[in-house]
Amino acid sequence: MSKLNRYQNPEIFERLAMAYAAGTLHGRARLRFEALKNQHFYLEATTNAYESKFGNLAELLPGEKPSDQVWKNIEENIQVDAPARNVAKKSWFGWLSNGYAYALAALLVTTFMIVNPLSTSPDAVAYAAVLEDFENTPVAITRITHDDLSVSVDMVKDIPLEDGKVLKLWCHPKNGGEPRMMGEVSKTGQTIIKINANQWEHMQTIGILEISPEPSNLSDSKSRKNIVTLRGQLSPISEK
Amino acid sequence: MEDNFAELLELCAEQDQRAFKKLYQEASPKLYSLALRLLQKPELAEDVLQEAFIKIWQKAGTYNSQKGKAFTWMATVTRNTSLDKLRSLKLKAAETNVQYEGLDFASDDLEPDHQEDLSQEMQRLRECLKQLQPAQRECILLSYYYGHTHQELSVKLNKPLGTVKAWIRRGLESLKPCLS
Repeated sequence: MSKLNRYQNPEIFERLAMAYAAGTLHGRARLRFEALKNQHFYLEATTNAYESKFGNLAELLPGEKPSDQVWKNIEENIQVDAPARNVAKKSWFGWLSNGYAYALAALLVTTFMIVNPLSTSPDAVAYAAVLEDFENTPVAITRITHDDLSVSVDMVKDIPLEDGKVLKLWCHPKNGGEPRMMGEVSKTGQTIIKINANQWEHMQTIGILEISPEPSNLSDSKSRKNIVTLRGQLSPISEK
Repeated sequence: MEDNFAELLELCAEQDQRAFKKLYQEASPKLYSLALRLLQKPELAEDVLQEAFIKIWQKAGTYNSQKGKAFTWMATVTRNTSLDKLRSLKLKAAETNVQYEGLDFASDDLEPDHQEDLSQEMQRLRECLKQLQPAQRECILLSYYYGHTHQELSVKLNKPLGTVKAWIRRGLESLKPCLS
């Protein structure tokens, strides 16, 4: 079985995620798993679920007081950090305010739903993103729905592709970090990618979707090679 | 306990430094205790605690109460930061002066009032752990709390490496349906 297939086998990756969270995965195996986890959101979602269970073990520990200097250092650090964080927050809102994607996303949903891109509500029933090219022209509409646990990508405009290249869909965590590949996308028509319940849960942490042309033989375990062609903000959709 | 932490984290996400101080005061003793066991040196554990709390402050907005308790989220941040530190320093347990060891705090016969303090999730996890053979349970807990490798456990428990690996593998297999 190839390495890629091993990590896509739920039996195997769940066992590895569990060992990682319990702390029984060590050395190179741990590093390898971390690298894959950072690229594949289904691995990260499963690992997070187990980390949340094993994290309870810390409750059993006897409390030990650290020196007062620790808090002084932390306090100093976060006060220095505060202005930078405010700027970052402002720019994120600014990004939303150029809201073409937001307006188009609203067209995607049925009338009994509302789109709220600022919401972190756990009640999202779907997510939507309009992916635009460099000229801010909408090219792909992406919907991620809980009902059928699927990601659908509708290309509304053809994308010219060099021979030997295919389009890959990537997701970016809201809190930064490396983008993770979600799957291959057809350059015309509709593509459906199935997801599982853990992956659905993980969508709450995703801020941006992107599509880039990649070599057709790019394995999932390799990072993105090419410049992003399409990009869009992922917005949660909740029932009224 | 967890509700308070989740509320405090929510306030931290809004840059509320008073809430952050309260969160630190209430959560840091156990998180420091966790870092101490993994790193074995108070000065390293304090460095890690500092780094972990800065991450908690910066990432408070990403915490999602649907996915787990605030305390377990912070414990995971602290544990992963500790393991990163160990890795960066290429420290091994054998190279340190071991001061923190044993699993008395995780024994089956906790005082009744201590048991009441535990969250429902922890009580559930304890029930799952009780279903394991003692050796399986010991290996998993030593791995979690002390970061011991299979080889280190083999030496510590004076058992063949293959036996230790089998205990861990079977222990995790037995835990899986219970945790699900």
